[in-house]
Amino acid sequence: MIDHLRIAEAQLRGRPRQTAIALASVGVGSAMLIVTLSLTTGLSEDFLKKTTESSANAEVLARRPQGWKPEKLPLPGEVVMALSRHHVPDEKRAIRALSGVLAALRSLPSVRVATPAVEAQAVLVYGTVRRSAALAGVVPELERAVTSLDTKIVRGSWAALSRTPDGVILGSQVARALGVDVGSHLQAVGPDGGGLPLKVVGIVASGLSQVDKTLALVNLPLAQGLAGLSTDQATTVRLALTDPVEATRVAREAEQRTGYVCRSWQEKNAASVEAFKRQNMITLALVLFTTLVAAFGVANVLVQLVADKRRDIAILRAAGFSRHDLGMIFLHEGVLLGLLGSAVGWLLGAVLIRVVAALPVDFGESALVRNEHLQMAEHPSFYFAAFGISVVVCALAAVQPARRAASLEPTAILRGEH
Amino acid sequence: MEVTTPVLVARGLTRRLGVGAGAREVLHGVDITIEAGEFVALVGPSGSGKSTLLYLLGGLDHPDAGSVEIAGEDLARVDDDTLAKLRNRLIGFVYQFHFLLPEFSALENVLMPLWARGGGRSREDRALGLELLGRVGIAEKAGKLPRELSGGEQQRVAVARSLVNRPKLLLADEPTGNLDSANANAVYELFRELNRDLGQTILVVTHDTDWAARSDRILRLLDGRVVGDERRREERA
Repeated sequence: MIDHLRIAEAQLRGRPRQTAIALASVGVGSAMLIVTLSLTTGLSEDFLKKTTESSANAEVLARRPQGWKPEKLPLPGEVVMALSRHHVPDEKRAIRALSGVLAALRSLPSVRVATPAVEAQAVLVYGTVRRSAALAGVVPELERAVTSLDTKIVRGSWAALSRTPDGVILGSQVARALGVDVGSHLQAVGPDGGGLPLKVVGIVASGLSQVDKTLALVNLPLAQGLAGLSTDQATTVRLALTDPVEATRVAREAEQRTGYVCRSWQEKNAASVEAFKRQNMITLALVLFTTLVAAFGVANVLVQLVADKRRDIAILRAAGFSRHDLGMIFLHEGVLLGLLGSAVGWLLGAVLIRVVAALPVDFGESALVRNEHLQMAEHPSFYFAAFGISVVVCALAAVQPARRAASLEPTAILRGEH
Repeated sequence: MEVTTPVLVARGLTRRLGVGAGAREVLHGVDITIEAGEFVALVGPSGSGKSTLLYLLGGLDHPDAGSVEIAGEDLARVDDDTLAKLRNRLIGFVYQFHFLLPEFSALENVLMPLWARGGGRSREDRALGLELLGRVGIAEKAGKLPRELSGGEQQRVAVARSLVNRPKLLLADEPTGNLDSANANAVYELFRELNRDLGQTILVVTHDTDWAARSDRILRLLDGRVVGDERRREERA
């Protein structure tokens, strides 16, 4: 086995300045790749994490799936009376026979918790200040099993909601907009106009602007009353599952079982996930250009090296190294620059990730996700990706110089020296 | 030493250099036979085709016509990679300029031809390298880089390198052309010694009339043809 690497390494060492520049350019390229992967992944992961924390794994909605026929649904031993009804325009959209639906959902093995909720648009009034809010009536004890909002309470307490029939937990930005705090009394005006006195018992800061700007959690009966629904009706049933990854499969099962549309968290956030994916792809494509620029740097160094080393190449050929050997030596130099350059990139990338994560940021209240720092993700895959891309790109950059070294005629060089 | 087996047999070597209208025939059917153990000087004026002939004999270049056989191997009939292997196994080169690899020590430069066959790292190989450096008189400089050696010392390293693969034929292209007379004489003595002690077959292209006068045989090249073949061995003996 010929030690191409040894000659490659010595030749690079013999050109410390050019080698250092090539390593720096590969290092910066690969560090940029790592940091960009960290940033884009961190942002989307943070968004998804906050989204899943503040919403259920799956939600049963007050809508019938397309092509749904009640005849298909009788349970064994059950007497089904098929009633053909026309749509009544002023009928409230709701999940009816709630207790039956809940029982059906809770019988599914993948469902850990099923809890009803009534969602209604309402206007919150505090003195002269009015703010619209997404009012949600929930069962507080069950709700905390479905979302992690109870852990995001910044003032007051979640438990107080169960104890206070007219209690309300507000999103932090709603509370600030209204100028209320725990203990404040306000009014909720429902879609049909009726006013409802509420007492603030808690304030939640989820970090998601959409939630913090609109959240108003009340007890279920209150919301049912405000929305004009009976106690056996709800607008959604929220599900906590044993395995959230399986949510879409369970959603289909739930639809089959209840005859109502069920959306998994993946389906609900598909548009956001898709948008993040697209944005990440564009960013990555741009960053890959940085790596390409580094590749040009490597190619440049190697082309120069081949030109400078013509005499050495002739000597090696005369001593019995084949064209293939010479090509391999320069290919090894490319790979070596890729390997060492990505090691530089790893260090630089790891440092930059920490520096960027420590920088304070404020994107303002309109931001999709609110954070005090950029959420940088760090997975080994980022480092391996940067490593793989750098090595491959540098090896490709070495192909042309290597071919050139292999094609040099030793006699022409030796003759030229005379 | 009894001279019997031909180490090198070249027949009808023809070589054209350049392309198109600028192409010209540099060698016109050269025949040379060199027996084992001979110490031959190849002389001729500039442009007579000496270096071109040397590169053909050393398997660094392909003839347009004719054949070169070294130790029975026909260099003109093999592909590039086989030719590289044959060069490595059969031939040692010394050039006018030392042509050492600047990043490697004297010893590593000596061992370099062994790398081409995947060797040069064993204790035996290193011992051989040191022995050769000792033979050329600079064993104590084994760890030095070329830039830390004088011109004469660098040429000695190059001579040691040309011997490491125990070549059948040692080819030298103006090996003293770049040295002062003292160093040139030392290199001559070295070659003489290798020829005498090891029976090394040597072909040297030289302008140095003194060197030529001291060799066993003088081949004269003029305008791409061998015009003289003078054996002097008997006189010396």
